[in-house]
Amino acid sequence: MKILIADDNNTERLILSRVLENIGHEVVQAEDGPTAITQFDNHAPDLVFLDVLMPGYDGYEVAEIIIKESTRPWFPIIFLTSLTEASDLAKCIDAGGDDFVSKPINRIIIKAKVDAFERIINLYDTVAEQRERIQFHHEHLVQEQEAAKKIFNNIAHRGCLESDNIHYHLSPMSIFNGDLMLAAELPMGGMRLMLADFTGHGLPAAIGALPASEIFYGMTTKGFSIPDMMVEMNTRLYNVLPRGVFCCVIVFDIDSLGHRLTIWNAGAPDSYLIDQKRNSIQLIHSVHLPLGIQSPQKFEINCSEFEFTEHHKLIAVTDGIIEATDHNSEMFGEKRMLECIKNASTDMSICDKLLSEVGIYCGELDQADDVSILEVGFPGKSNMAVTSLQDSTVTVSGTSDSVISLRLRGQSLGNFDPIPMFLQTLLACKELMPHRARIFTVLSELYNNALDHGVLSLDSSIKNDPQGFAKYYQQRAQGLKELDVGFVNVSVDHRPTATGGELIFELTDSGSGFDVEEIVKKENQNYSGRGLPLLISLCDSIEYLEDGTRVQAIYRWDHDDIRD
Amino acid sequence: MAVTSVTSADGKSLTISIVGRFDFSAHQAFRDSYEKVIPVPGEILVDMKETTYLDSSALGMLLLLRDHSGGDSSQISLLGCNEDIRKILTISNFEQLFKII
Repeated sequence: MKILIADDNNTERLILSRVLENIGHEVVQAEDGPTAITQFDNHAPDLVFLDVLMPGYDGYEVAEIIIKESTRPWFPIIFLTSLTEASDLAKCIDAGGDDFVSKPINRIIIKAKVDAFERIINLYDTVAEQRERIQFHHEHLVQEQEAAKKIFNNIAHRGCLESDNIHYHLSPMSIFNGDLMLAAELPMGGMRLMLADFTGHGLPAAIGALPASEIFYGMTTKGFSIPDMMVEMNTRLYNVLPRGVFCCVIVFDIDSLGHRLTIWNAGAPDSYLIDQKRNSIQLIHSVHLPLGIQSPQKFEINCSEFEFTEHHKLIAVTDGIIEATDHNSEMFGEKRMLECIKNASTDMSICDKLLSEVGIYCGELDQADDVSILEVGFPGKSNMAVTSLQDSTVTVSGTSDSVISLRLRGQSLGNFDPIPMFLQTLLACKELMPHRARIFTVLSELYNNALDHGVLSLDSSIKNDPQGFAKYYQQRAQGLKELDVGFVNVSVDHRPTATGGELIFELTDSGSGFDVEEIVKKENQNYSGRGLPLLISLCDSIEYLEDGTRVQAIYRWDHDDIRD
Repeated sequence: MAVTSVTSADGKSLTISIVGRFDFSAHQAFRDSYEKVIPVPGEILVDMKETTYLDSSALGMLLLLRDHSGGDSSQISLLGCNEDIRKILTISNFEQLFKII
């Protein structure tokens, strides 16, 4: 170590120097206060011995200046003193000294003290070095997280979460607390939303969210149903997540044409379906194990169906809000949550109201960081516009001259949804992309009519009240389960024309048919039913044949439709 | 939090007791309580009579225990769960995987 000795007594200074040099230290000397400060500045010693009484500045004053000037977090000073009064000795420590040595000095004591101080200095240096290293790693980690967040946000983007009918709260650090919120428009209008909560925090949760997001956006735009999508998501998560990590999820479709909510809750807290007109709240419980636990062979999904109109709202949350605690560690809980939703006024979104209540409850808003809330109202009807084609080249390609035909029988009617398959094949003809919402709607309306009213002979008039709504879909699910006879034949004939092309949809079902004129009359009064007014408005022609067991609809498209 | 475990005299069943909060802090102790028991007992009882709280990482730990003791063929019972814990298990539908008594 380099040690500075400041003492106006030459003999004592020399003796101390010799002692220190003999045990291997480098010594710098000063005979008064001002010289001590100059030497300190010039030599940057590791330790200083200061005589209390010196000309110029006394030891206390020098100590004060040295401590002020030193760039180290701690600078060791030992006072040399012939004073023996306890109060004088205490003053050495008050002035910033760390120890004192009584004169005349004793070699053994000096050596012991310097050794002890050397150990402390080394400890300080080690701590400082480690802190620097930790800081470096921390900055590096933050940078990496920022970059990871950008990649994550591009894959698990928020979709149409900024739509007018949605209010949400999601912590900016949500990636690393495992919450995920996704929203996409359904091909036939309406929306699909998903709120997911991966167990654990940090990287494992974020990594699991990536395949979930890709599957969500990929399969939703292709028109796959929730069950098909969740089977895929569970299989993927089951394969990639380690045992013990899983994903609680609420996923739902709002079909704005059918005024229908299709929802599935797997391991998440209750969701709240609010009917503002009837002033009622329905709880939607978890009905399944979270994703990633059940093996694909055993995974089974049954969605619930509810009526959903302009008067309805759905609130979905993750457990963060329920488990938010006050200063007594008592949880916010479901009771308070339900009270808060019941008492929500119309001038504030329920999401904001819940956030502020939880903030007040916890005493500090920081707590709300782990809270994810999703509030969704009716998305409004899709205008079914023909969208513009991103690639402006107009050439006829893909399946523009083709017939696709499929006959589903018995159990297959319940097990397989043919719409995504048809859509994918049809859209191999790129010119049809701008028409996809319309084509999807026409095809799914026609197919559902054939299946629901034809094969299963369901009566849509029971859908006119909320109980009936649920009953209808129960009957449908039951009917599909028991189905062993019956068929639906779907054929789509795509032909090019001089200015574009035409799609001729032809569906035949095994049902007993229906009175076409009667239905058309009823349709004008009610939204439920066969969606005939919609089909008529979208198609160039629609014709029922063979007592309503066969339908032919023609959709014509023109290259000119596409040019905006 | 304290985790203790006892193997029955015939070695066929293992009882793991958790006192206090069952959360991530119990992770190592919970694993140790069954991983060191060889051979894996046919029946496992998780005694939660004195467990006050259970979080999602505890659910994960239960799944690890289930996997360790044979997955779908395992026989694990959760004993004496209080109402809050029962509720958390129900939300996650864990009664499909464990016998909740």
